[in-house]
Amino acid sequence: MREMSTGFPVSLHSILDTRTEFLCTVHIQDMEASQKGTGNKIKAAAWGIKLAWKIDKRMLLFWVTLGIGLAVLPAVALAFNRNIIAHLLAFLTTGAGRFSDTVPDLVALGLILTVSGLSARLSDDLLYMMMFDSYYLGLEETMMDSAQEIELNELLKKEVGDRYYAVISRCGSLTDLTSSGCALLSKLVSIGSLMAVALTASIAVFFAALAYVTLVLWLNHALSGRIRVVWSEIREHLRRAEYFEKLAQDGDTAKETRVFESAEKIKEHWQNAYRRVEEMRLRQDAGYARLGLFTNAGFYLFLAVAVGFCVFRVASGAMGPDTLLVVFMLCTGMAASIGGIARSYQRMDYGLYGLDIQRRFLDGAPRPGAEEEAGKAEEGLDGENVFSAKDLCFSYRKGIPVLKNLTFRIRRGETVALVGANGSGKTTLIKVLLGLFRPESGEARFQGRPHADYRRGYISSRVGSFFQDFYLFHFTLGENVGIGDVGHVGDEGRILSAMEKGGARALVDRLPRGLQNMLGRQVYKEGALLSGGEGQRVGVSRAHMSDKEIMVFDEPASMLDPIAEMEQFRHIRERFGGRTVILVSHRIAFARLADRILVLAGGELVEDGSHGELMERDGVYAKFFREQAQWYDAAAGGAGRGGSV
Amino acid sequence: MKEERIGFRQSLRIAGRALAVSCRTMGGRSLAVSAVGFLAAFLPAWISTVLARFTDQVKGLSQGEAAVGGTLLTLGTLTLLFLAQAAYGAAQGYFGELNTQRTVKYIKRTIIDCTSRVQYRYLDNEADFRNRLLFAEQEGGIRVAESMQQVLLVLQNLVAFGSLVTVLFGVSPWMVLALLLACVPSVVLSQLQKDEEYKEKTKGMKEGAMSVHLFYICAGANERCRSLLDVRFGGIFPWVKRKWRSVSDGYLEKKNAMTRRHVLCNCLADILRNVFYVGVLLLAVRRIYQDPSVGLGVFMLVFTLSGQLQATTTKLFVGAARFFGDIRFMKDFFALEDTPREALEDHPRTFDRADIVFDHVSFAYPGSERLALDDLSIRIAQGEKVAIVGENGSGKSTFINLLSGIHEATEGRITMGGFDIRGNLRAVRRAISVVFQSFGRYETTIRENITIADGTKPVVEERLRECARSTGALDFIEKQPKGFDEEVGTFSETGNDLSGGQWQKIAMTRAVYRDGARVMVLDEPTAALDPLAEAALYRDFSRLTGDRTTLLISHRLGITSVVDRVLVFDNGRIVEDGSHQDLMRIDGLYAKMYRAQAQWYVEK
Repeated sequence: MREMSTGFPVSLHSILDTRTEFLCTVHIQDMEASQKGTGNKIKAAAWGIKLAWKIDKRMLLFWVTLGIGLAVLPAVALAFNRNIIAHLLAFLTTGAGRFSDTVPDLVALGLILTVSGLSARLSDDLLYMMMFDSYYLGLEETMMDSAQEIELNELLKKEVGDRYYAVISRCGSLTDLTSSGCALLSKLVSIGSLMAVALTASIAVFFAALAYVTLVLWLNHALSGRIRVVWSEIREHLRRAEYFEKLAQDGDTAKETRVFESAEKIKEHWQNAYRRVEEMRLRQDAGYARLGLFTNAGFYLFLAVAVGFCVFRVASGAMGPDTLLVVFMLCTGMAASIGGIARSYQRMDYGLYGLDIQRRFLDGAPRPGAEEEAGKAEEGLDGENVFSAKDLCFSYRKGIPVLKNLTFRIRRGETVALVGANGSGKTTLIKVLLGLFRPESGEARFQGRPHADYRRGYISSRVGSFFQDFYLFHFTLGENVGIGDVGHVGDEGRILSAMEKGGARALVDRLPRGLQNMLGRQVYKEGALLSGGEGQRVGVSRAHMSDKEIMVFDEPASMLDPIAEMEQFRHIRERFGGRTVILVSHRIAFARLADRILVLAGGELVEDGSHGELMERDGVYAKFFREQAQWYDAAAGGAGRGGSV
Repeated sequence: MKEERIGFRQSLRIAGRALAVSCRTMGGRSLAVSAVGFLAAFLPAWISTVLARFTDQVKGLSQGEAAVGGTLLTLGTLTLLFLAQAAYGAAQGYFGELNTQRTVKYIKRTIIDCTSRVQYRYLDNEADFRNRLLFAEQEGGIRVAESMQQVLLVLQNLVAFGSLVTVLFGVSPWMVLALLLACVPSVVLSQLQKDEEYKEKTKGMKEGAMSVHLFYICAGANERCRSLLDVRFGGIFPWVKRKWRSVSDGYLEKKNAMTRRHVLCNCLADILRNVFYVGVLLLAVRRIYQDPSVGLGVFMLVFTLSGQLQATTTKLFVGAARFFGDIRFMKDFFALEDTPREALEDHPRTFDRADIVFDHVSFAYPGSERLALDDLSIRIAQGEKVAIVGENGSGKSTFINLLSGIHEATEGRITMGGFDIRGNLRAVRRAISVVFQSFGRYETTIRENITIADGTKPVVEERLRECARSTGALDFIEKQPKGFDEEVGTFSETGNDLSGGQWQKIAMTRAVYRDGARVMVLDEPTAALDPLAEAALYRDFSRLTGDRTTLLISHRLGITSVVDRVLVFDNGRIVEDGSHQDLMRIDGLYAKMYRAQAQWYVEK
């Protein structure tokens, strides 16, 4: 590890490195091992509850209280029921008492049953829905915020990316925990209160019931790990299946399916992927069903034993028939709750499983503390050297270097062209220079400081960019351009002017709803699908909108026709001449627009100079130039037609 | 998803079709379990009667009038019945899940079949196809596939209902009437709520989906974090997050308003039901007081049975109403299946000479008034090498789409080898080898990525290697860890996504692999290639294309040096047509474009 001449404590650098280490080395196996630990489950539960508390205290308190409050009702109902039966028995055996004696008890019973019934309606579905609103969205928000902190090149690695995707897709886990936790809690309280009633009826029954409930809970806990579907596996298959599903529906692949007649092959792939999903889900369902059956069936056997025991006691006169009936109703009352326990427990467990994965992923990505962030720079050190690199090395994956020992400087006001073959690292270099990726060794500086020293957002506020792999959002046309300068996203005048420069003005008239027309069809199917060239124009317009002192253009005209291409570069030259500009293009000829040309080959910087100088040198650049030029007529001003036809 | 009145006969037809489908997806074991369910439907009534007897026996036991053995026997019977109920419940639950899985699979399979065979214009959202697709997938499909289950459930509830009514009738017919009357509001409410739900679902679906979509953009998890770069570097996260918040809140607002209303109404209906329930209990107790010979068991009977009767009644009527309410969703699903498919002929002819003729062809994309092709006429003979140039939106890609039969011309005729392509779709497609601009990068092996282009012949390794060698792809393929068997694409095992240039070479290999084709169409084949690779393609051009007619769309006008003829598109018409020299002499649009590009290549 090279020594950084930043003046920054080396320890910070090592912290950043350990983070990378962590994200890289925590394997999938590790993740699975964690699920077996009860300790991790408890930690996950604590984390989840703390999070839920932070997101919405009131909801949690309200439902827990309501749940517990309503849970004791069956026991209360039982008490009234007992009175009624006692009255009836007294009347039937001795003829004492009148109908009006039972009326208050009956009415009270009815009232309690009503309230109890309402609570049944409110819990389960409604509970999940209400908690969903707060906690699902709340967790999504937490995810979003945390996601912004994670290094981009980490996320692009497959292992980390996969885990990240698994983490993101389980935002329901918090809701599962809170809603099922609440439901479980209320069921347990309900059982508890019924058992308290049992205590007054028969101590033996009480202990038997206690033993049974404990057994059920333990059984659920022990088996949950084995039954539960391994999220990481099923997620992968689901994604594959969805990918093949969409192939036949969208864009050019749909056309290919028709022309190649490959529909059957695609369906086969989908079936293979989906079969795995189905198998895993069914195995899980079978496991849950078995568990539920044992829980229920076991309980009825327990009921038979308990009531049978009571029968003997009644026969011997030690217990009244009303007590027996109460025990019976108590047991049937518990049966309902016991049946629900398995389901609630498993759902809660599933939520905990998700939360555990999420907790470990998020906690493992340290966020810079507030003081650390405040200590960062808000302005550059060196105004003259906008970008500089010294012995810069970078690779996406270990052992496959993409950039090797680059050393160069880009001064303020220079227009620099970056030229090289496919895979020579041009786009990667740009991303490193902009601080999106961290160099593996060596250093890259922006205005004299390493990128990490700047406050978040500083660099992006100084640099406007257009990337080859830019993303067209599923927003309106106006918004897609306007977000180049997000503070002015509603300024139509500026947007239209930016579109003029970017060559996208004609789109406004072509699309039925002009600037308000949605782009893309992900959600709103009336959205417009732009061709490659049209999309490129919109992307470049976005860059024009940002209008910064430092601009980067990576292949801004590769899909445009010759005249539009010329216009594109002309606008860039006119608008941003005098500012610091980095231009990347396959079309070597446009390098002529630049003051200086940097030539990359095999990840190394091989040539650096103006067009004239490099042509004289007759090296890599000159070769590229002539390879392209040979196809143009000498008559039209080109180098001459070459090659055999 | 328009609000149409569906006639009764039509409803029956739809219901019948749904049931047929559902039977198929359900499978034997599932149906058997459902059959058992009819027997299980008698259990509640049976349990109640046994319970009543048990109660009386217990009372008798305490008075010394009954025997312990008999009581225990009754208890045993009761336990067995409970166990049977539990067992059936578990089986029903499991098979219910199984059915749901099968159902979802069936729906997806249907949708894949539908989308891969339907006429392409529907994929462009003609007749709102895509919205209907989404809706059908989320709502309609499930209801079709579960329709059988629903019907069986309703019938089972009917049996249970009948048995319960019979037993209670024996106690007092008035009770039965009272209990049934109390259920009326619940039933009516559920019907009304179903209607509202349908409307809400159709409207709210988009917003919900948008909320999820915005979340994925912020978190960047879709499409392999593609959006994250722009979100991060553009600093637009706060803005997108605000959008997400407002969309989510708006969506929830509406959903919750409806849910709250429904819950309130349902609770009121419940209260009404319970009032009647208490009334019935009062009646029963009074009866016992008036006539002690009736016995205590009656109380237990009424107590357990009334609740069950009310529950069963509601389930019965709600289930029936739901089934008929679902007809609307089912109709949407079947409408999807009935969308016109492409007319593919069974015995495609083969072309020896595949001359292409466009005769006064006009075309506008669905939903657009602008003519993408405007009275276009052109004739391309077999073997010609033609370059197609023009600015974006001038009609180049549309021309290709029409030629491949993806879209149908709104006016005019297109023929290949003298035959109208309408009616010869399969033949025409087999005669064409096309590389689209955003060609597919399939998530599978390299071998399959190439051979997917031609399923008519078995895969011969030598031929595959030859094709790869001729396009220059063999080099990097052999360098891959597993060679041709290497899985590529963003989701591949090793995350091995090939570079743009490598993919382009694979696409070219695909085109060459389809060697039965008489026409080759390349849409921007060098867009991602660097100068060296581009030059290599031009040099090998005639060798790669052989005697096939070649249509080459490109913005790189250097290509015109390797073709015989150039067609210049502008606003849906071909405005210039000739060799490079001819067009330079005319000094029109082409000359202007050419000079705009060539000027850079003057070596100064």
